[in-house]
Amino acid sequence: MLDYVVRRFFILIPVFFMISVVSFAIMELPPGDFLTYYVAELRAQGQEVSQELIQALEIRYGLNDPSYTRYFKWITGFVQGDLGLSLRYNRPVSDLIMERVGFTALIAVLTLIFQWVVSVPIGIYSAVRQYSVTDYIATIFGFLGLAIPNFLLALVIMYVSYAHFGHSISGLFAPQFVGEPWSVPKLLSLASNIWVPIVVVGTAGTAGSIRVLRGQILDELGKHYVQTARAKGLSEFIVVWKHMLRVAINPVVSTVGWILPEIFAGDTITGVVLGLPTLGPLLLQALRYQDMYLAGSILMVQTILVVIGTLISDVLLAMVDPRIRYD
Amino acid sequence: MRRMMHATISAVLMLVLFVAAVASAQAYNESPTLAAQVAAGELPPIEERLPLEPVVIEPTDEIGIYGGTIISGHAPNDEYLLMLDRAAVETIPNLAKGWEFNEDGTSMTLYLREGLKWSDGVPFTVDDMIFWYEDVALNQEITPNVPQHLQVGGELIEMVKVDDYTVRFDFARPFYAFIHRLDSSGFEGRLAHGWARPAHWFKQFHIDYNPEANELAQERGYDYWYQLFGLYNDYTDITGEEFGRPSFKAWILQDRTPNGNVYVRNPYYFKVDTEGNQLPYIDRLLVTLVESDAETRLIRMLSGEIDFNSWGTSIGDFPTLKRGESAGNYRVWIGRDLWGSAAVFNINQTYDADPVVAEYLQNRTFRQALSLAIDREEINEVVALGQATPRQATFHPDTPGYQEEWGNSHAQYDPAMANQLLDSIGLDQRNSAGWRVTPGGQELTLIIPVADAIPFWIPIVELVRDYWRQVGVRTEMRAMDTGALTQLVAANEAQIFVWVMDNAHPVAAISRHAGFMSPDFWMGPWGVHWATWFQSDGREGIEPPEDVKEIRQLALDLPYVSPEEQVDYLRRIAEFHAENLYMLGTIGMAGKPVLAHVDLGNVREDAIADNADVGGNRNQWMEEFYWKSAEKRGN
Repeated sequence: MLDYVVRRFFILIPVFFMISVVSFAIMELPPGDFLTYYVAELRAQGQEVSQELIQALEIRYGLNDPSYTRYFKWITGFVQGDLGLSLRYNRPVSDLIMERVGFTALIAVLTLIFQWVVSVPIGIYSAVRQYSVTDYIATIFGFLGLAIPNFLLALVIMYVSYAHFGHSISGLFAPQFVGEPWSVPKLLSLASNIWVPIVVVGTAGTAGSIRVLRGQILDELGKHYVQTARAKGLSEFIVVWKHMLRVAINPVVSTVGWILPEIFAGDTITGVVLGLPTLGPLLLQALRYQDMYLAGSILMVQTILVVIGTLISDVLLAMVDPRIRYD
Repeated sequence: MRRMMHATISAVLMLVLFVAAVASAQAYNESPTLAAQVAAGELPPIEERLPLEPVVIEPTDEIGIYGGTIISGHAPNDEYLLMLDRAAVETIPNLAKGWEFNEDGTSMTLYLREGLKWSDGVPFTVDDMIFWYEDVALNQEITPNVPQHLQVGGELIEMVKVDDYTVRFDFARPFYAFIHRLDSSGFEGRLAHGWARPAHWFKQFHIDYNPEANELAQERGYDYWYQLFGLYNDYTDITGEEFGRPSFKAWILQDRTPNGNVYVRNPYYFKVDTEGNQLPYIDRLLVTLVESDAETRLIRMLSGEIDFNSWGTSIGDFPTLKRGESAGNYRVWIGRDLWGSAAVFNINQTYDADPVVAEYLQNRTFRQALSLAIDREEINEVVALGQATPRQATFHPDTPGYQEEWGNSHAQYDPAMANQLLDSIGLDQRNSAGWRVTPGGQELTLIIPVADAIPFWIPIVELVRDYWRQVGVRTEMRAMDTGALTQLVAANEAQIFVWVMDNAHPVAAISRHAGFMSPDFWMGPWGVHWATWFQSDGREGIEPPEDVKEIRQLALDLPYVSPEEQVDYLRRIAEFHAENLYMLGTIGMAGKPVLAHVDLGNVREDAIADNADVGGNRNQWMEEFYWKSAEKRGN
């Protein structure tokens, strides 16, 4: 087992290397560089951008160096924990990430809890009562949740909130609390806003989980151990929750590792629409402006988390399921 | 500004004196919060914080009352040595109390306000200007190339300290437009905010003053000292300055969070009202809109969450914002805009990828026909709610010597005439689809790449595409990313380039060498290889014809000649464009919605809304804003 984990871990090193090359190459693909976009952005607002500023920035950030030099500089810094400078903000990337990672993780964890609390009971119920009215309602809800794009749902909720309650729910709390120390009113304001991203992002995930759980439990329903359990006179509650769920929840648990990158970056488009201080919108901006060290470092951290998450899932599965072999 | 006296000693010698209405220092008042800090011994008394002669502002409506917080769409305005008056026409004193040119305009003396202090209480003197000039602007590591705006006719402006509060600038040639480099009528990107730096504070990051500056920078995650120095030195009006840097703003940055920025009143702010009350009236400013999505911004404004905003709005949002007025407890109006045209079709004279198309782009009659085919009135109705002015691409009507013909040249809607002109230049044959074909039998197709950086570009281009199709000229629109578009243009691969026409207002046009009216402005949108030729001193690009060279020379000399000659130069440049139509204008002075809480006082509806040509929102003097209701002042 330990041997397996160690082996898997060493395979990760070339994977990380390849990921870093690919992320960097993708950032280099579009024509032009950060300054092209920076200048165009300022010019579109009628701001003057002098030639000497452009040259100053080129030299300051080494933008004239060949790509491999910049890649090497970035990746050597990265492995030493130096994520580089954001060109657009002229601030260390790690600072920018740190000031947003807390809210991002908070939203992601709450979303996950919401997702499970809603999806597990509904999934079980609609499987056990297959083809009942409740099952159909849950199914419709599930498909709607899957089909509606998150950003649209966010916009609709925002509009309804504005049109019927005169309250804007963008941001994480009302603007008067910006920069204020945490207090009861600030927490209440947070609570009155934070449910929107949780519901919006959670709905899509909930819908998926409901379908998976329902399918799994339906598979288990006819199995012999279920019949045996029932024949032994166990209550239906015990049969479902104690025996079937433990098997049925396997696919949900085995994807647990995938939530790591989600906790880190959050849902980008929802973040943009709702004006959330999460990492997603920062990544989007960075990609749009070819702010390469910022974009590259966020992408890199995200992919590392995907890989680590997968490793965790594999290890968990290996521990849970004796059928998995270690070679 | 009736409290200002312009004493023109001669045409070339000017002395502007600012006469303070409040002579006696005892008359000054301050915010109760500051008074409490003074009482507690945390701050020196008001008389010591204000300069000997503070700037006196006559409030727009009435004297305000202290207190409250505004939630603003943008960071507080920057303060410069000089500034523009409320009409955004004349340059008036600000940090400096006056200036004086010598007889032939080759030298200017600037007088600073004695006792004026940075927001940390350290006096502002000429040394702060010298530090900025010698150790920042001319430091090769911070600024690798000598900035253009420090030069006159290719030679460096000399800055000479006369005494602590007097500085002299010497120019290689007469330079009357120099005041526009000090009033900072435009944003200069990240580099040129002001002509001074708080030397006492910046020296800690500068390697010449602190040998450990590199280590300091490394501790903060940078590689070199000039990167950390740059963090504090450069910034844009969008992101605002970095925390900790002393400034002259009415509110200074107290906290910066991903949710928004918090600014608090600057106890050393140098402006008072006519009763001697130190400004600003409002205690705090919260900025929460920066860099958010356009729809999110709109919904936040609609819900009344924003107390004042004139940034990043689009005229198309006006009806929506207007409908939300009573529910959101705000009022909204269309603020003045100075852009000569909201969308200009720059016809690239050096385009060469398709020789047949290039030939027509270079044909003046063809351009006249294209211009006559555009229904500018309809564009105005559809895109700008009828609030803009249909016009050709030319200077703003406030320009001295402005002629109606400049804006009217081929700007009327006359498709019959357009058809006739097109027929007359060998495009009288049409193919089976109805498109005009060249004598060689080729279908003439114009391609217009367009970006979405400004929301009304795409709707305007769609309309124009249809107008040109109606006269038989097949036109394709290609929407693309702004960065990709500018790359395409810089590579001389665009036939037509759609952009705004800023720098049309005289203040900007004169100091910026006529802006887009000059062939070498930015990438030279209407003659890319001509611009390259000018910018490379003839080594690259294509040599432009004589008349274009002449216009460029006029534009180059524009800031340096006397005001009478400036009028003549502007006229010659404008007439050149009215005749040649290298730029086809659509609608100008389109306006932008500005929104203010109903309870906010001293907000001017005639102020210029968010326009870089007069320094963003600087025309709206936010320091005089105040809350009319006690409830708003209390929070």
